[in-house]
Amino acid sequence: MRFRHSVICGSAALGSLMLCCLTAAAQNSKASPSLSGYWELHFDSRNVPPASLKPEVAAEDPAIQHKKDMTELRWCHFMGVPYSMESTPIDILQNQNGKEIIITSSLRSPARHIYTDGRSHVNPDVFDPVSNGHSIGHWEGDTLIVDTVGFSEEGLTRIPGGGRRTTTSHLVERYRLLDGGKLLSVTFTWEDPKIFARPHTYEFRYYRSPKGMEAREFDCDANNEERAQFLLEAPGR
Amino acid sequence: MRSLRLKSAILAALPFLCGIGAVGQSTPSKSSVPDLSGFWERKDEIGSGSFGGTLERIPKAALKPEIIAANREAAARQARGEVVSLGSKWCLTNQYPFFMQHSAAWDIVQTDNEIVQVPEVHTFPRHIYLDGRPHPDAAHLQPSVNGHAIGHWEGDTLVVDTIGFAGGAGTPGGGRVGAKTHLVERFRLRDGGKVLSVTFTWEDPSIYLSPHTYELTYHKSEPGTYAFEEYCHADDPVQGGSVVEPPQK
Amino acid sequence: MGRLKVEFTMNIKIFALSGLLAIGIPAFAHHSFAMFELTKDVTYEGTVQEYRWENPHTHIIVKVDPGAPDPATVGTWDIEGGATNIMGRQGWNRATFKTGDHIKVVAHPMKDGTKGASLFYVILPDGKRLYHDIARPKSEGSSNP
Repeated sequence: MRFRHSVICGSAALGSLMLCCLTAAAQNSKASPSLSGYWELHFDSRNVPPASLKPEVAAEDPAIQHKKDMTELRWCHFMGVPYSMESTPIDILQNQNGKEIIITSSLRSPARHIYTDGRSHVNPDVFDPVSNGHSIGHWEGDTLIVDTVGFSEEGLTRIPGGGRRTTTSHLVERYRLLDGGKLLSVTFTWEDPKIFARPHTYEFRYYRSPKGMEAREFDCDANNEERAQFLLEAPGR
Repeated sequence: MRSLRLKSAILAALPFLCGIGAVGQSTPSKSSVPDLSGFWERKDEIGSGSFGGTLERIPKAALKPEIIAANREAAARQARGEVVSLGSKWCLTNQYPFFMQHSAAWDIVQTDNEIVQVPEVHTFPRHIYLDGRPHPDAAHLQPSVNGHAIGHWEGDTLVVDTIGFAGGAGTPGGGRVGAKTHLVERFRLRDGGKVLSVTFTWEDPSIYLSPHTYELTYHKSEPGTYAFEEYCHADDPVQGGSVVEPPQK
Repeated sequence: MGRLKVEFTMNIKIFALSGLLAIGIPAFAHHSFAMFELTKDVTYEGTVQEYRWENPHTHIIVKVDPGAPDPATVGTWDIEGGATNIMGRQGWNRATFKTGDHIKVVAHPMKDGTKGASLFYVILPDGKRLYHDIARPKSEGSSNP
């Protein structure tokens, strides 16, 4: 669950500093690819198998989740992960000093901060769970591995394929460029002892947006009665 | 947790121990411009709660008479105890430059082609395009809370030019932001990179008699700091509340 | 476009501010601080009755027993802090205090005499201060605007 790179390097350093140095050298023999840019999902971007849910979760009334989703939207709460990864185009910025990556969307929700400076997760005893969780990342060759814990249950918590984000969710993402950088593959693997019978993995393939793409601002007004009625009342009335 | 921290510390030190820039070599950019990235926050010596005075050193904007009159009227209403805006109760989006004056830190992430400022207050990230694109023409300009911002480097100074504000925000010194307002900012590091100076110059003939210029400075946050999510729940009655005398036991 | 009319029945004071009037209240704009005596620093030393780590303001309910050095502070007070992100960066977290803890807090009292105050800082047992936000006393502050 924890930061695999730190475990690898930490163990090696305790036993053999040289081994870790060699590992680091090997991993950086070529610069990590740049994921920076705007990326969007198209009609054929998703490969999402059904999740293997725990029986009690599979038996839940879907209307409960629907009502929660609509209420969160109505009140303009932060949408959070995984929804923000579907609200494309997303803008990935890989900081030039290599210490942080952010992912922004058009939502009025916080950007995702992925710390790639070697830190570990924040002490859960003091960390306030949030809709994006706490993300740390590292490179394994040409693949960015992002490990996220510390989620809240705020926002749109529905996970593609089934299940939902909870405070015990753990997400591992693998980001890798394909087709000469025209595509970005992201595999999402969710684990949660309360939700999934086994890890749930799906893949999105984002298309690089045309040059000149710009960020959008999709604002949210909780003080809009018509909008509230649309979101909370049964359709077609 | 402690052992993880130890491992993390060892990991962080490895590039230096090994003489290998593990993190540095991951850098996709070959840029030689100053590195503005990281979390930045203001400091203040006025005292807790005296937030109306924190920017008292900002020069007053030279405003058109009708703007001065409107500001006076709003101040008078506030002095009478009127609730003049329900923006925070409804968690409405804060418009630029609000987060630049706020206590909350904001984060800069920087590449050759784009810089993004990521605030914690409830608003959108601010995207500054550095790839040489111009502003859209009037027909294609989409008004937004952060406006349309393009930047370029002049030596060690990042110069950012912004138009296309949605309008309705205010500036320190009594100014306002309108749909036709033009902002030029100059970002420059000081004190060995510990301090970031930002000089703002606002122009709008419908608001200002002359350009309104002031400087704010920001201090680099402690290493290892991380972004918080400043949630705002308009459906929580507490959102509109404040101090209440507790029952006396 | 219609606007919802919501009436809060709770016994809370409604303050809301943003947009234009946020111009002059830049550091934090949830409500006006005109209700507090901002130039008056009062020390409340007592027991934490409740520690609410929440937005838009953290609240510490403090009971000061009779016999306190400042008799005017005796009673139960609502000490209002900042948003969790503001205070978090000053070193606070949801576990900083718990019910029953001893606390020494410096705050600005309400002008109307009700038992509420705006947090300035707490003094920890080792003498260190935990501040509400970026604001510092003039003697300790920086010179930047």
